[in-house]
Amino acid sequence: MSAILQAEGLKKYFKTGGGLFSKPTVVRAVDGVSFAVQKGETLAIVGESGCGKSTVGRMLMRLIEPTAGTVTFEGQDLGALGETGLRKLRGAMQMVFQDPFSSLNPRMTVADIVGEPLWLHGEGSARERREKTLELLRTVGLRPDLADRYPHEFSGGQRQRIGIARALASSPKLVIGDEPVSALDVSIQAQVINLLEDLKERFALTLIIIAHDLAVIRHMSDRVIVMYLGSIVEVAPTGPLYSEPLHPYTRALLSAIPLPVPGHHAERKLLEGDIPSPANPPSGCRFHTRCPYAQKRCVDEVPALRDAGAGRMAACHFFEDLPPETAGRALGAADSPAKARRLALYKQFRTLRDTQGPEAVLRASTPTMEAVTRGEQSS
Amino acid sequence: MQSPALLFFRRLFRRKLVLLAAVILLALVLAALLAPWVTPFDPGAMKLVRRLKPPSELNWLGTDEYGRDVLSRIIFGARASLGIGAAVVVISMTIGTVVGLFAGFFRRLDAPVMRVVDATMALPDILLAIFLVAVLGASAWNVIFALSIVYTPRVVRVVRASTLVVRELPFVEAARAIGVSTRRILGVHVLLNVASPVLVQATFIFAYAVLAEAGLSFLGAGVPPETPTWGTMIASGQQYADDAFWVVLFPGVAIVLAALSLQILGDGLRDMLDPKLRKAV
Repeated sequence: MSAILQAEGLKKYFKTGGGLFSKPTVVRAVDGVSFAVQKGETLAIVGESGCGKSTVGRMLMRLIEPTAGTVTFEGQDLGALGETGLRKLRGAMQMVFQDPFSSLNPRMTVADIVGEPLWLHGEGSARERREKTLELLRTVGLRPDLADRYPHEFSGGQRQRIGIARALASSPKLVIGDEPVSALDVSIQAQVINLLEDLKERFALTLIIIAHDLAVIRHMSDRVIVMYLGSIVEVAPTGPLYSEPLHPYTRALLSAIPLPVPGHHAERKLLEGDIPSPANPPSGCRFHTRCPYAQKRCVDEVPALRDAGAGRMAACHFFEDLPPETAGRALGAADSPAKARRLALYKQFRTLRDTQGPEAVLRASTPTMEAVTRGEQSS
Repeated sequence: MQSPALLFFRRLFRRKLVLLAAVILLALVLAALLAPWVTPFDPGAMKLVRRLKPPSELNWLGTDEYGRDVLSRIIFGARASLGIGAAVVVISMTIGTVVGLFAGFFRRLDAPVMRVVDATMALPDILLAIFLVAVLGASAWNVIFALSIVYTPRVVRVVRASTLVVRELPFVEAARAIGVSTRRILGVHVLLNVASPVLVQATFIFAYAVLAEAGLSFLGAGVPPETPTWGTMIASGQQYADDAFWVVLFPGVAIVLAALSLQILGDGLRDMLDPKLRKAV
């Protein structure tokens, strides 16, 4: 695998306030973030609101200028590109936005919205573009005969599909999803996530998913970057991150996920206090004000992002010495035989439904159900 | 499924008053456009024997001090009055929209442009217009020019305010993300979304311009008196108003009808477009 996108030392400082006689306050929204995205992977960036994850996403797209640092896409430094060069490259990098209501121009029809990238990149004749637009709508699961409606005539989930179709129109290699599902109903979230995963397979995309919901991330991503107050605190493949989080902040985030395990009453490590202001971040480790394991050294010294083996990194002075984590592991624990059978049954139904349609499930359900119940009683 | 145009008019004319205003306005515009064919008399033809005659079967709205038919002059006056109003709307809308879009979108331009606009708006409208016409000389074109200068700042304000809101909406960022040029973002994405308040503003400016033209002509700082406009008719007829009220009343009614129906139409447009706008933003 090779890196398709590389971020080096990204920083974004915003100046706020500051009048004639007062100095402006510098908000360090993102303070030195470096990472690489491998071709074909799904990388997630998670963190609380205000941790700078969306700002990172926008800097990757160069929708906002970084204060410092570089973004390299397929070996090309985005900062060195002029306005025209950047616009050309925009086709290869696309973004799906958080708010499906305001990220579509309310005065344009769906066909215009989805067709605009095609028009911009000068593809084919008007009729070919129209064909491609309708095809894109079909791809994301929308009826093409709705193409001439306006965005307000669609539901949130449908609009997000329109947004995804727009992102796909220019045949991108990399798609950045800025909280693509957080504005949607939970039931719709799953549909949109599945759609994104399908499209990723189909078009061999690389995905960067920005989110604050670890449960959503777990299902789609290969690697996770955890951010806190503008810097990276942990990078790890998804499996190990969830089973053995290294950084105390990651642990706290994970323990906040409710586990769908009956009888599970894990001790929650809820974080106390608010996230400190990035205008005036704490000294040393930025997490020390809320860290349950904080020590003297954490106040004085900024921890480096250190390699922890197996592709993992954490920015904590003491991650080797922390007590073993249990809360997050419960999900990964071996299933009881009864649960394993139920899961197998569920899988069976899913395959049945996917291959033979919903009626097949109805026909098959009764005897199989009985078989399982029998099995459960005998064990 | 109804066509959007049909839906638009059905919504707009839900209020009967708006429909009435539109009908009156349409009648005035048609009369102005078809003036040479619908007027009973030549508006300039003097008949001194028939001067200051009250409304009769021959002269429906009476005759003026030179025996000219008031109705014919009002209809021809509509050409000048509405024509000047329309020209002012087109000019001030075009310039105002472009300047407003730029001022709202490019923050560096905002402060200097808005200070100039504030300065212009600090001067009373009609005084500024009189001053400009006095300097440039009285002619229809100079009236159009002067009134455009007076009303452009209003448009700039409205467009700039809407642009400030629209430019922060995510679809503008989304447009940039797919590689849309700044010119197209401004000219298509933002413009489409500021269009409705601008449209409403246009009807108001039309009404103001018709009134202001009449005012300027009345004060002698407008169109030369030989051209019939509603303002010049009142101005030249005022000294006979005691004996022949029709000389000033009917041009006055025309002004009121035109201005009022434009205002009502503007109100109707605003009522119709506002909830949609709120939903959109």
